[in-house]
Amino acid sequence: MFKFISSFRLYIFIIATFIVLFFLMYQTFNKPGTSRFQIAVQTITYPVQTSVQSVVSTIKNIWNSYINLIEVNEENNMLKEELLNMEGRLNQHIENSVQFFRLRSQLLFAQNKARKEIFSEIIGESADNNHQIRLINRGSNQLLQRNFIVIRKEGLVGRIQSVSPYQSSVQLIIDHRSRVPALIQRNRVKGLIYGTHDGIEMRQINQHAKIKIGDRVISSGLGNLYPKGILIGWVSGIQHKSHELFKTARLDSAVDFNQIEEVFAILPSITDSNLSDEFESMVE
Amino acid sequence: MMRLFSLSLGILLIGVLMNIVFNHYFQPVGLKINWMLIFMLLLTFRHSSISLSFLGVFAGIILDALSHGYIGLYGISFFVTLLLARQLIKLFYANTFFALSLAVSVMTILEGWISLSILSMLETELNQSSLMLTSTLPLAVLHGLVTPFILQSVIWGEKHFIGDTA
Repeated sequence: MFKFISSFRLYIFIIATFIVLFFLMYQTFNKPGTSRFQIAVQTITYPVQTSVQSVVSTIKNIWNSYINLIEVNEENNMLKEELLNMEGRLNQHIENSVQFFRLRSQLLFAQNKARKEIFSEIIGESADNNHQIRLINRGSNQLLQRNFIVIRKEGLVGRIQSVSPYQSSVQLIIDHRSRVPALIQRNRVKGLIYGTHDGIEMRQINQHAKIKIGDRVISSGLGNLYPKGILIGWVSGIQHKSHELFKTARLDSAVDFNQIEEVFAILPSITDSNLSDEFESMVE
Repeated sequence: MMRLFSLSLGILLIGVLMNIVFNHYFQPVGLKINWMLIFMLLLTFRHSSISLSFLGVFAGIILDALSHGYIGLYGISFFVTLLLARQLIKLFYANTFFALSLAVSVMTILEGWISLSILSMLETELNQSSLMLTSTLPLAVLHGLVTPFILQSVIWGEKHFIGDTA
């Protein structure tokens, strides 16, 4: 027996390695959450990523503040002109929004939504080419948890996939694993947003639904993961074959995922006021 | 042997740094170069030690932790690729820039195919053939092009750390 083991120990070791790796993979696939190894790796790599990020952003700031001043004067004149045009429109919008907020407060009188947005910087991205993941410099120490939503002012970015104490990985909506229940804002037609690695598509749209290029698509709030009303993008193309039950719409994403540097992670709503107070104290 | 392992570990850590930091800013044709894979392949081609294959497992699971989170997936693909790379060097003289570039490209395609095959079992919506064409194949070409430069740095490391080159 010992002779057998000693003569084939390398092969035994290789097979054992495969078994361990398959077991690990199976376990991490079936168990949602962040594995300890992942937390350890992310915690170790965090200081390096933040250091490099801060050096790069310092250099960028210097560039933007001093060297890029040439275009500022021209841009300033253009913006002044634009500002004058905007003032008129703003007055109209203020009128509308006063009305809107009054009506909305009537509708939501029973709910006191305490929504917190945590500002985060993107410090890295997925190490492979097959997944659309960004690493942000906020983690469980800042109360972030798996499945919290990440947005920008332009629209929906994604959800938190895993969390370590100092950083989290965000699965973008363009990742092929991402699914977001959505609707077309104009006529409330429902569908599901699929990530296609290089963009997004709205699938499972009723074949009789009337959609057109340029329609705004927002999250529908179904499934309780993504809140309702966050802009996702605009319809840029429609596909429908006669034998298919559903239409598919190609979307232009509201967020330019190649350019994002900062995002907001949303802590979920807390309706109970006591809980809200407790939450506030935790944040402080 | 110990020196080789230490050198490989050091090079692997440099590869990790390049994967997580450098790749964030440098993505030729929108692709992230897998520095860890190139380093491990080159070391395997030059030294053919089995310990490098096991070190490759470590490199793979670091990559898993920094991407999708299924720990072991890239570990398996790296392990298989490096084990096969050990066999491949028996077939050709692996010490010229061209031969190594070609070998690295071929092994990159193999590694990509293995990892995507496993991934497609876990993630049913994954379009394996599309990713092979749009991501793995261009990446293999890119790896082939950067291999001579990385090989130079590996040789430099060997000279200074091990004392002689293979």
